[in-house]
Formats: sequence, C-alpha cells, structure tokens
Amino acid sequence: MLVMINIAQLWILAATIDAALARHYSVLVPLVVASGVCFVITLSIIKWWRPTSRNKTSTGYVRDQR
Amino acid sequence: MTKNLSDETDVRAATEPFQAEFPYERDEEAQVTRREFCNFLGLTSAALFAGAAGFAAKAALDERESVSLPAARIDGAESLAPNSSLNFSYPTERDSAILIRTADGAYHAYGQKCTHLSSPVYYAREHQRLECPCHEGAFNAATGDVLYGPPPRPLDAIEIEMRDGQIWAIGRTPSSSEVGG
Repeated sequence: MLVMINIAQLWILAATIDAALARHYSVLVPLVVASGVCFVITLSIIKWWRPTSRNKTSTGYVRDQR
Repeated sequence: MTKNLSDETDVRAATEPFQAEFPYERDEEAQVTRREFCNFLGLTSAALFAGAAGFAAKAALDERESVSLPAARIDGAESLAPNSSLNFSYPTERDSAILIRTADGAYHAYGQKCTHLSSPVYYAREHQRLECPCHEGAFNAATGDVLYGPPPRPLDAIEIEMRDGQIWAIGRTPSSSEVGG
C-alpha cells in the first residue's frame, strides 16, 4: 500500500513539474494538495497500522483476547 | 608463521563471552525490518510532497515576479518589406526573436523558439505563417497562436512600439494558454 502511494506521489510530482514548466498555474494547487493527502495517508498508516496477527504491539498494547 | 583468523569461527569464538550478553545473529544483521522499510517509504513520501510543493511555490513566485525588460531598438525594422521577416535578439543576445511584417503592413514580434521542442521557427511567406520545420508545427503570424502540429501553446509574444519611425522591443510576454484549453 505504501509503495503504491509512493508511486502515485511520484506521478503527481511529474505532473506538477510539467504543469509548472508549461505555466499552468491553476492545476498546481490541486496537485500539491493531492500529494499532501498521500503523505498524510502514508503517515497514518505508519503510525497506526499494526499487523492483525500480533496480539501485542511494540508499544505494549495488548489486543483484547476473548 | 601467523595463522589467518577466520571471521566466522575465530572471531565469533573469541567474542563468545560478549555474545552471551549482547546476542545478535549475523544473518539478521543485513536484514531490513518491516518498520525500517515503512519509515523509508514515509521519508520518500515526505520528500516527494516537499518536491511538489517546492516546484509549485517556485512557479507561483515566477508568475508574480514581473521583470521589466529594457527597451531595445530593432535595427532595420523600418525598411522591412511587407510579407517578410527579420531576425533579432531580445532581451539578451541569446534570446533569438523574429519580427514579422504581414502583408497588410502590421508588425508582430515573437520569440523564435518553438513551444514544442525549442526549434527555431521561420516565416513562410507563401503561407503567411510561422512554421517549425522540425516537427511540422505552424503558428499564426498575426497572433502567434498554434495553427496545427505538436506545439502545446502559442509563441512567446514580444511587445513592440513605434518611436520616431523606429521599431522598439519593449517587453516579452510568455505564452501560457494551452491549445484548446
């Protein structure tokens, strides 16, 4: 998932450079916002994602076992 | 005669007491953990975001920055016959430009670089338009707009002014509108 987001961001960066060189200023803000959203999603995944197979995380959280 | 020590056996044997307290497996030494890989991807994501934001910011600054170019007289423009062209440089010696006097006597000036791949355009008298010979693009001589071919936008326009019977270049306006957009 993270790799896919990185690839999407790479594509957005290429589009941003293209738009900047072609002086298409109106599309620059949406492109930067899209890249920012990707970055936020990446951070969210890194911060909160845990493998479902673990019952204990590195921070000490113990999964509820019934 | 000195014996060559083996990294795998002798050194590990010599450091065995320490390994009891600080154990680690050599095979795992070069292994990248999932957490490290995720952090690397996170940094890459941050770098890509910063790159996109940086390019956008620079483009926005360039747009706001209005550079006032010095006026320059175009030598020989007054004697230019209708339906003909004259090459000159503006604003610097390295910025080639073309002055056109159309059949109705009006003057128009453009940067000579084709907006496709920067090949020099020339004035085709028989068709009364600017043509790029490299990839067969063509521009309107009166407006600089793309007539056909691969160029994505019009030619850069050079503002000209008549002063005491002489033609002066007074500014250069980069084209920004996409063909059809």
